[in-house]
Amino acid sequence: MTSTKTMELEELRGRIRRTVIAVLGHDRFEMRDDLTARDVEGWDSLTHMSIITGLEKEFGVRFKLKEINKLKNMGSLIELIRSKLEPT
Amino acid sequence: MENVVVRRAVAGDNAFLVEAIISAEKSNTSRLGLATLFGSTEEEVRVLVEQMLEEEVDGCEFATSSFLVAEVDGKAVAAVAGWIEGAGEDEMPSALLKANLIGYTFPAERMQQLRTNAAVITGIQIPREKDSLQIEYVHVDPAYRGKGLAGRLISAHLASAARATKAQVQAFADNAVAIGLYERLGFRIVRTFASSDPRTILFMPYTEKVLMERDIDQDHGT
Repeated sequence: MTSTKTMELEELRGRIRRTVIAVLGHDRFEMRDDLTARDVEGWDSLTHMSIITGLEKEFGVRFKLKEINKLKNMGSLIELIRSKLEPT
Repeated sequence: MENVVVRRAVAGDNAFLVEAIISAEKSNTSRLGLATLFGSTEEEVRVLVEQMLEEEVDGCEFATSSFLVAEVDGKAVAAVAGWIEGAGEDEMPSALLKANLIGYTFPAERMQQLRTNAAVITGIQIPREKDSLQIEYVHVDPAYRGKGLAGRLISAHLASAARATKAQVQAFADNAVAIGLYERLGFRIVRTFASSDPRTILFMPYTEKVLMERDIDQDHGT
């Protein structure tokens, strides 16, 4: 991975993290790839909806239902957003 | 009761399943959480619930495939949902599948309303245990109540869930009929969840819910 790509990825992680913090009202979680909703205090079905719509707004993307139903963890969420932002 | 057929629901049952979901959600009251929390109407919610069923997201309560129906003389008169929690390929908790479905289907302004109201009901959001059989949306057409149909459907779910660790069902704490039925089927109350927000009763059927459990392999009541 080039250093530019690494920087982009770090920026992406930062923006996702800020969006999640804005919904949950706390920053007590690490942006590990294997992080799941179960590991994060307050990430339940109700806040999940706000996190997903918040990310759509933040990145100007629209997720398909199939895509979000397959999200295993933070790593797959980052990868999904990255794939949406790549120029086609 | 004669002429009863228990079978897995199919897409052709969706109109009846919408009826079952709405009726069970209201729990013998006029308050439908799916409408009140979203600032919506029952008419709109009926349409949205049918749309959610059409998305075919297996492994949650808004999936046609989760339901067993009882037919009498060829007509579906009772339905009960059941699924093994988090047992899908991606092990997604049903609460997140449901949340994704609602977020995808409900209009943006409804979701905005939910964000305002959601905190009111967090106290009666009951976590579902992974690998347990979840029983939900127990509904019998009023003309066919008292004939054991709900019990037959729940027993059929239990019989086909040998790989589940246990069975769980939730009920509003004032619903004595439902709690009595589940007790006759071997379920016991393991925990009560109460909402401390007095506004809960404006949105939901009741302010307290009970979580009930039983073993899968006990022969009691089946």
